[in-house]
Order: sequence, then structure tokens, then C-alpha cells
Amino acid sequence: MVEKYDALVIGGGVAGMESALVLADAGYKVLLVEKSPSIGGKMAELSKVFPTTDCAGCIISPKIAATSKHPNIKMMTYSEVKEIYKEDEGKFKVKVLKRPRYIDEDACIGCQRCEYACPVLVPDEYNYGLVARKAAYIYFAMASPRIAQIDLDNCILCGRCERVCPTEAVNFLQQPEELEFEVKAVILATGFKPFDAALKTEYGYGKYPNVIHALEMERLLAPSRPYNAVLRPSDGKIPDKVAWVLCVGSRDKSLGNPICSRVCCMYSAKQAILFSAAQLLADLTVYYMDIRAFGKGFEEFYNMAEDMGIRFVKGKVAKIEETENNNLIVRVENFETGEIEEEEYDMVVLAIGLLANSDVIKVFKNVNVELDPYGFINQFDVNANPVLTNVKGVFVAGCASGPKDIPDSIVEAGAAAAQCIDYLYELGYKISKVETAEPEGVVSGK
Amino acid sequence: MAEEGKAEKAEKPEQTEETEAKKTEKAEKAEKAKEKPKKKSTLKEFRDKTGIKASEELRERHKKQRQIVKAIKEALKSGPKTIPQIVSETNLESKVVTWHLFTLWKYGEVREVEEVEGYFTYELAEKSE
Repeated sequence: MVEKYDALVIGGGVAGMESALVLADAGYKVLLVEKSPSIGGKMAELSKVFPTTDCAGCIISPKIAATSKHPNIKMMTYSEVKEIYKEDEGKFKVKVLKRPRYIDEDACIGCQRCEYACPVLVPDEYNYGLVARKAAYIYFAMASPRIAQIDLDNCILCGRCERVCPTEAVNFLQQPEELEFEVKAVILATGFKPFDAALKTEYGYGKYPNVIHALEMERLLAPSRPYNAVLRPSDGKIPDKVAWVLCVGSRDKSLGNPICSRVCCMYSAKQAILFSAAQLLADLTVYYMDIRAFGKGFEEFYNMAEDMGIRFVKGKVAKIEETENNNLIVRVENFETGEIEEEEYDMVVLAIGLLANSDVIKVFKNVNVELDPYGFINQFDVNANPVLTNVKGVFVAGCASGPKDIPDSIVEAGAAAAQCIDYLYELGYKISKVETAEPEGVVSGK
Repeated sequence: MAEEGKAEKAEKPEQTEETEAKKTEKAEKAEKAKEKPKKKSTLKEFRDKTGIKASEELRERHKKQRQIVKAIKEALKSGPKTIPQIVSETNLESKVVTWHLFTLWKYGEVREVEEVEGYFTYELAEKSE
């Protein structure tokens, strides 16, 4: 028999989790599908949030826990939605591919013995390749579900994981499973794709080890960082002089993304502030085209960065070159002086933009979910109801509809869930019994 | 900076906090598994059924990784060293040493000692020794 849910949420980042929690707290049954081995999304990779500099992990972990434990949410990680057919209003047939972890999910106790025993080193995606993970691994420390998986493409089939597993959870015979579900509504919360910094060839990302992108800097600044401090990837040196280059892959027609990514100015200021707090005498410069400090407390945050001695230079970086000792020469046109300047740094951070991650529309087989001119999911009624798509019963939340910061993503996710409830209500699907997790001691999403 | 580094390290959260109930549940699962008759190796069956073997390229890469890790550990046997010092002793590429050394750090086989002229020194942790 096909399992039925009130709503399907695609994407387990902060927006997807929020939508799922709002629906689930209201008593609706939610199927949450996440591609990666854990829910948490990009926010689980971040150090702190702006402009409050609160710990990102401390904000996201209660949501991860609430989503994982909620009795009304069925979570499918390491899984992909392959097909959606809209058969009628309130009736979507969904096919989900559950990829094999080669680990029995019920038996795994997340002890990481397989990971410690595994001899193979593979670039760690969670840390953007700054260090290695093993071929048998848990995605990250706070991962939920905390279940290992074996990366068969990189496995040398030595069998050590199988030998050390205390619960005999390793199962190389697992196969992909295709599962069918019926849902009444769909929320798209697929987030964004970070701009590939290597495409901006003049900045040398991928060629010069000390040119890193902003998400790598987030990992270096996070408490769960891959190094013991913020250090240069080339030689472990403590960098004294660091530059941030803004608008890399945003507001750049030549790279096909003319729009502003809305968060780069503030996350760069935040990173510089955090860096400055850890290393008081560091010489930090931010190269920008315009500072867009439009949100509550943003201008004050930017002013604080300036007051801390962080230098903001209005200019366009034309080129980055490497010296013999892996330092970097930044060549910039200073807009205020009109001069071409060159300055040497230990490390350069590229503030990469947020691109559309809308491949999900291909899974709709008999309806077309429209995209906007920038490739994001089109907000059908952008002014009056920005969470609607052109397909009734399909809603959008978070960065799937365009770049936005965390609070805006959460607000939109709540709105998408509310609109979804309204849709279900209109169709006559009312909740007969609200199951709340509170009495069981499970953390609420609220 | 060394002090700061250490303070930051102390901030690093350990693995997800576990409740007593969860720990008990895990222990029970592990106990149950012990009681069960030993499962047949699925890897052997997988190999027999599919004929899949690790590729030559993968084995070569793994062999190289093992040699690099061994060289780094060997260099650290005589005492704490910075990455440039390990590089000069092993003749390995600097970024290669960094990547492998911090992987060892991540898995608790190496730990930082102190800051010396803009670099941290690293030593083998007991686990690795």
C-alpha cells in the first residue's frame, strides 16, 4: 500500500525544516526528503550568523533535533525525489529514490568505529575539501540521523569497517530502493547552489591554495573547524593580512548572474569581525562595489566592523596573483582614488554568490513549475503571496525562490507552511487529532 | 595567539551530546549484536556476486596516502614540528602535508602544541604513538 502524507517538503535545510515543523506542529503528516546524508543544510556549515554573531550551530541544532524527533515528520535522508505526478488537486504521486548507505540504519549506533578503522582518505565535502573524511563516514558531528554511510566509489573493499562494527550494521549488499508515496501538497525548499569560484579564473581559486571561498572561511571560523585555528591551507601559517573580495559571481552579467546575492556584504563583515576578534592585530581589508546593509541592524554591524579597524575599500579587484611564498598580490582599481593599487596578502576570501538550485522542477512530470529569469523558482504572485508557484498545491520557501538571509528564509518557510495548510483546508483536509510532541519531552520547533 | 588558539580549541564541541537513555539504547543494541550468531561477511558475498574490485587508480591513491601519512608521523616522532619543518624533512609538497596533517588532527592522531613564529607546532597524540 502506498504511504500517504499531507505534505512533501523537498530539502532539509533551515527553510525545509521550518516548513515541516510548522505543518507537523499543526498536526499534518509530513514527508521530508533530503539529498545529503543529514538534514541541516548550509546553515549547519556556518560559524555564526549576522548581525547578532550568535552561534549558527546553536540555532540550527534544536531545529534538527525537533525535525528528527517529530512524530508527524517522516524524514528520508540520502534520498532524492525522482518523479512527481499531479493527479488532481490535493493528490500528487511521488517516487523517491533511497540511496544505499551500505549500513543498516536500524542497527547503526553512530559510534564511528567504521570511520576510524577505514584507511581511505577522501576530500571531505562538509569541509569543502580542506581536510579528508574516510570512505566510511558520518557526514558531520551533529548529523541527523547520526548514521554512517560507505562511499563505495572510494572504497577499497578492505572490509575493516565490517570487522569493527559492534552491531554488524555494515551491509555491502544494500540496493537502491524506489518508494512511492501520495501527498496532498508540495513545498520546494531546495536552497541555493554556491557560485563556483573557479569560474572567476582571474582570481586563481583552485590554483592558489590560499585563495578560499566564503563557505570555506565559514568552516575555518566554526567551532567544529577542520584546522585547530584559522590557518592558511598552503602551509598552516596564521594569516596576519587577509582580504575579502565581494560580488564574486553576483552582479556579474559576464558570469550569467546579474543579481545581488543579498548576504555577501554582511557575511563578509561578519567573517572579518570574527577573524579580528580572534586575532586583534590582523590587517583586514574588504574590497566592495557597494555595501548593501539593508536589514535591521545591518548598517550598525557594518559600522562596527569599520570601528574595529577593518578597512573597506570601494573598488574592483581585477586580478590575484601568487608570490613564491604562497602570498597573494591583489590588483584593484580603487573607485575613490581612481588609482590602480596592488597589495600583498597572506590569504584572500572570495565572497561567492548564491545561485539557483532549481533542478527539482524536472521531477514534475505532468505540470511545469516555472522559473524566474535568474533560474530560481518563480514566485507566481511575488507581491501579494510570494510563496505560491504557478502550480496550485506547490509552494516555495527559502533560497529556492531567490537569495535571502536566514531570518527571511525562516519567515518564508513559515508562510509556505501556512499557505499549504490553507490549501489543504480549502480541499477539506482538516486535522482530526493534533499530535503534539511536547508531553513526550521532545523539543518543539517553536 | 597560542593561548587564543587553545581557547578556541576548548570551544570545539565534542560529538553530539547523548542522553543517558540514548547511551543505554546504544549499549543494548551492541549487547544484542554480541548475542546474535556472527553474521556472514556481506563484503565477501558482494565481491563474489558482483566481481567488483577496487580500481588500480584507487589502490595507487590509497598507497600514496599511506606513504604520506607514514612520512608525516615519522617526522613527528622526533618532537613537535611546524608544517614548514615537516615539509623540509619529508620533501613533500606543503599543501599536501597540510591536508594530511589536519586530517590526522581531525581524527585525533595529532595535536597542536604551541605557536612558533606564526606557525603552530604539532605532535603525535598518544593514540597515534
